[in-house]
Amino acid sequence: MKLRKLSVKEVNSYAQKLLSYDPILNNIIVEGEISNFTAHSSGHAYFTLKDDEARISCIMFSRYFSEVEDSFKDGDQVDCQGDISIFVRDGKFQLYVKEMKKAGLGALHIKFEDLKKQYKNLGYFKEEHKKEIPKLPKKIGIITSNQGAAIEDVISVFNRRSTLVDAVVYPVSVQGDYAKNEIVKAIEYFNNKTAVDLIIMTRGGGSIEDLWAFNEPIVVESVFHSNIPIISGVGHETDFTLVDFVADLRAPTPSAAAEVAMVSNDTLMDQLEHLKETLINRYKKKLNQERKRLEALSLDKLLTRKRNQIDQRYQNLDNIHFKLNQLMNNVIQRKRNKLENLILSLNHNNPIEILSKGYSITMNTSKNTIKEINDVTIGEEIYTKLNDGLITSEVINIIGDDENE
Amino acid sequence: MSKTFEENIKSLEEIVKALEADNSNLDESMKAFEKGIKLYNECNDLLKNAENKIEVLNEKNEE
Repeated sequence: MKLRKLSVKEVNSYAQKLLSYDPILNNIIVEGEISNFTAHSSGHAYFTLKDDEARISCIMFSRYFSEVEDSFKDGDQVDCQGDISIFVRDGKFQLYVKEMKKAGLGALHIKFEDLKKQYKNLGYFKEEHKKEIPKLPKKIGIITSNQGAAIEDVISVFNRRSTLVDAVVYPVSVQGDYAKNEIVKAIEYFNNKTAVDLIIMTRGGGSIEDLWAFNEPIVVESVFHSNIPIISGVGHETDFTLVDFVADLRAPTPSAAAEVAMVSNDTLMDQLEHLKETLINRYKKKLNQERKRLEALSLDKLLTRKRNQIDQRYQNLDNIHFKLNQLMNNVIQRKRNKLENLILSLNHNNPIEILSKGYSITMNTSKNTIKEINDVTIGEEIYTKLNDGLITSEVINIIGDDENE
Repeated sequence: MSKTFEENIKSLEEIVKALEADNSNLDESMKAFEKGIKLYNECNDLLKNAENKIEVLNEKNEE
């Protein structure tokens, strides 16, 4: 078989093409140690990745390298993600790096997940182990660095919110080799030597390495076994440490930790006013009840009842009186009728009544009625009473009935 | 100081509860009410006049 001659470029290009078809080499992560690191003035970075047995050339173009946050130097253990290709001009087999991270970080993440799983299985994060956070703590222990924003945030909230809570700050290193032991010592101090009824553990945000003290098993154990409730406020919203999981309450930031720890004066004032209102209302209600009871039994009511009894007797008496009156009137009326009848019959027999019929009565001057002729003498003055007056006369003659016939 | 506050609040709540229960007589109710108002005033004073204290431990304290 006759071989076709190829140019160097054709060979290199062909190899490059072959590599580009490979699904694995197209996107890989390679772990190794950096050597010969050069950040070129063009912005591209050139280096070699090596491990105990091999090495590979790497290039990271400026558009990727400029996105990298950490700085790198020879000897750093890194993870590089990218693709394998060939630089045609030099026939150079190399890794085109798109992302680079320090490998140690990844190791910490793995360690974090392992520890988390381990403590979760031990039941350290269970709700039943969470101690109740006191509503009105008297004294709060604060475990934090006495440098940095976290303590300032906490104290600022503290001063703004409540005048009723005292605080004891136990300054500790929150990162570095001493941090874990100092934090544990602080928890023990508050548990054994003070009367704080709540602990806040806090620090500002940082990388997983910065926050690592809060993932240390000795710290996790200490938080779990604390007799005093602990609120964690480590890092920012998105930062989680094992202390956050094992603490009795997790606050997203240092300020938030301080805020959940103490009820504000305003809230307390509202609560107090509400209690007062309720007290007064209940008391008024009670008074009204008692007043009603009293009214039911009051002297007034007794008197009214008595008066009713008396009034009834009065009424009886009045009835009797009325009847007596009626009887009396009847008697009087009967007497009056009788009297009137008497008068009537009397009138009937009145001699004066006769005068109206044309009769008259004749009397002498002594007003004695003249009944027979012998009662007068000739020349004597006599009076005759008629119906409507008197007539005076003189006796001229006396004639007896016998003579007159 | 806040312990007193919390205790006062608790007592106040108990008094309110007792007043609601109907079994106390007027004398008791009056006394309870007076005590409640006194507790309220104390709490109010505590809230208004209290000043929080912040103590930072030093090496000596920690020993």
